[in-house]
Amino acid sequence: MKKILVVEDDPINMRLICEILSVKGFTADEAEDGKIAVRKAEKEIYDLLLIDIGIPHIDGVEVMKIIRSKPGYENVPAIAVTSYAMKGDRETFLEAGFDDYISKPIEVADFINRLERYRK
Amino acid sequence: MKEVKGKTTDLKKLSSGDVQSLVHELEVHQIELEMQNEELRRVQHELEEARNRYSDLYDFAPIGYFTFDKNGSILEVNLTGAKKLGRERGNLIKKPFSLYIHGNKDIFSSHIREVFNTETQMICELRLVDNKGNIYDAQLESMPVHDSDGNLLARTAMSDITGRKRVEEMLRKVLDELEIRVKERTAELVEANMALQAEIKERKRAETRIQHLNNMLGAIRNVNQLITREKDKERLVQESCILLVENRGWQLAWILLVGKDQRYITAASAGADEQFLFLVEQMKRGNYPRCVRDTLIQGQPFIVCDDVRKQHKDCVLINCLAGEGAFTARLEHEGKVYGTITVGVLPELVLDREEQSLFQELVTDLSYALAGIESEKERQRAEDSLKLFRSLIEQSNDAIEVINPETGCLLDANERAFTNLGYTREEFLSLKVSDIDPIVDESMFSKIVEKVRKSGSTTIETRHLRKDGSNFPVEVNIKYVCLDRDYLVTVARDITERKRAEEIQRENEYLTYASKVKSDFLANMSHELRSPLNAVIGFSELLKMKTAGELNEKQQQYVSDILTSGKHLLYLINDILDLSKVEAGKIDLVIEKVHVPQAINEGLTLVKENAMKDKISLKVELDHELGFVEVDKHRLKQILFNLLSNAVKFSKPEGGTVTVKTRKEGDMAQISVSDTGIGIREEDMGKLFKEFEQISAGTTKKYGGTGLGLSISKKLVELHGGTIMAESEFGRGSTFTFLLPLKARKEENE
Repeated sequence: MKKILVVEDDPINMRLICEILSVKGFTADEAEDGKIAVRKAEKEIYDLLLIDIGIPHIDGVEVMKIIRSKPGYENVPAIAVTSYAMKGDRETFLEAGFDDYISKPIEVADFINRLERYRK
Repeated sequence: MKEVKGKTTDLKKLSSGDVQSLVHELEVHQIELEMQNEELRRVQHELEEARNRYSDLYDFAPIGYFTFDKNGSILEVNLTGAKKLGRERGNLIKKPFSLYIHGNKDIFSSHIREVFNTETQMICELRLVDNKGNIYDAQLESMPVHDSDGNLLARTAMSDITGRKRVEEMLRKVLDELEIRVKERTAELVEANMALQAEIKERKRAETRIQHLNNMLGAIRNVNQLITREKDKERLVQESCILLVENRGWQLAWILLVGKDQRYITAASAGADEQFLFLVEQMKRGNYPRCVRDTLIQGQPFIVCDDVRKQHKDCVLINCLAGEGAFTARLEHEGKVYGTITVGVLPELVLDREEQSLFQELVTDLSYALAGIESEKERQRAEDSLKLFRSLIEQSNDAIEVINPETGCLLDANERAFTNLGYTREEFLSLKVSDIDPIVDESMFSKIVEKVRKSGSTTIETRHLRKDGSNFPVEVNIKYVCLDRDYLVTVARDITERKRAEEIQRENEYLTYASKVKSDFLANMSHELRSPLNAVIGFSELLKMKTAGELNEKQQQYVSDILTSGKHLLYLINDILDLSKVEAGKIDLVIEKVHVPQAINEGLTLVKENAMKDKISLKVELDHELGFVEVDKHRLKQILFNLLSNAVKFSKPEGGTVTVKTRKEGDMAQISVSDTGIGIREEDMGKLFKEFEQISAGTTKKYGGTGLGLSISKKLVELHGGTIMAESEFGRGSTFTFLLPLKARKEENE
């Protein structure tokens, strides 16, 4: 089973994502801000990172960059899951290093499709 | 007779006839002889008489006659001769003549010897002494003669030449004296002549000098005349050079004019040769000859004579002058240096005081003239600049006033100043500041004066009062000017327009700011709304997907309602976001070739479902000339979708028609969407394109939609450089028409 680190500050949204993940048979680990996310990533190598952008302490882009710079994370995919849904935002985040971009509110079917791509 | 003799010889041979003839001949001959004899006696007598006469003549002639033999002894002497010797004639005969000679007797003996030897006439002079011891001068003139016996004798005439000798002596003495005197006189004359020569030479030299000085005076006079009329520096110096050299003035003249930092301005010359042209070229490059440089710097006049020439072998100018003398001096007036002047002077006049002082006079005159020209030029310039300034002031759009800082009286003003306020110049100049400024009263005026006296200038905003009582805002720049007395110079600008513009600008800024705040707020809001909406929609979907177990029918309906409402909320949010982006100028158009009929089809597809549901028929009327346009494809579809969904929405109740028409209008594409719906009231037409303004409060509930569609569409059309309009008949339907440029330009957004 793939293990996924979910970084999301809103607890309800966190529950929604984890619910979907568990329905689809993924193991989710929760981090409600950037610091926790980095700490968790240091302890364990996850198979996939789902990161919200607007989070406390360290923003999502920075969190992704920090974790990615750690040994073992060179090839771990990261997906931005964010309310920044304006035109150009997608390009901005992909350019920053995310492998994919999902805008909120998520469409559950679409969200699941995207995740399936990373299940090997 | 010879014939007779010859005949006689042959006498025997004679015939008788012949004898007869011969006797006859003899008889004739005898007669002839007797006649001859008679003649002879007569001649003898005559001779005797002549001899007596001669003897008398001989004895009593005024000259002494002597006959000497070859020894110089007296053979004969006449009475005069004896008398001269003071002796008896008888006593003198046979006596040597040398007895009666005084002094050297050789003269006589050599005289006699020469007469006898050469047998020619001789003369000698000697001194004789008579019996009384009287000595006298005599001349002997001796002629050799033969006596009847053939002996050679000397017949000598002795004349007393004492008188002649005395005269001769006197004459000689006189001559000697004369000669001495002539000699003396000659020496005097030679001396006098030499003195005269020297004097003539001196006078000639003086004359030449006087002539030269006269010429120079004339030249300087001409220069002075030139000075009075010539107003151009370059011409002045050039003409001066010519005047100084012409009419045998100075040998040459040249003038160098320099400007600031001794920079070369011009050089003029006359009588100068080609070397001077070379010199001028050098000076143009700033290479002044040493003596010129020295003169320029030190101002000391410079006299070129032999001594100086030796000292300044390296000076180009002096070398150029060859054998000439020269004066060089600085042209200056009251400390300002204008240049140098050099004149070539005859070597003998170089040290002439008059010549030098003439030159000095010239230098002074020229310097004064140059200063005069300069100050005249400056005065002219000042005058011109004053005129120019006045005209500038008169042309100014600002009111310019000169004010007495003590009284506040208006002293001078440009035309604008009084016409602005509706006064004549005379009226205006009788006013005070307080008469034209309703704000600045006397105490404020003196405060302002005090302030600008210290700071020099200030700018205030106040108002100016017209003659008719109205006033307007002005900005006044006040400057404190100290000249012969103190003045305030003010420049007042009517700032009515500026004030208005400023106000508009402020409003604009505020509006822009407000609009940005609003847009930012909306953007933020929509962003913030997404998180809760994420949960609402997400969990609804999960429920609907029955991941949490089966739902009963009612539950399913609830979930579906939640989902629909959630999605509606999402559209709202998206629209708001769009609008805010347009307003904040954040939309970038992506211009590409778009096929209009295809875009319309795609738009229709989106509303087809709803239209079918309400039994609304969709019609398309295409202008085949309108194919491709260059617009933002996504935005065009957004506009079409907005208009079409409105048309479908408002075509209720069922059974209406929505028509899309295209037309090419010049270089614009015209697209219209008509419906047969409820239409719009006249009074509501104005609100149509405003945000959040659906026609009536109930509209949203009844028809759905955010009420932002038209507003967004209008903005998108305008962003393309196009226009949108609406026509409607209430109760009958509406037509929305928009025009887009065939080739839209990307608008520059801030």
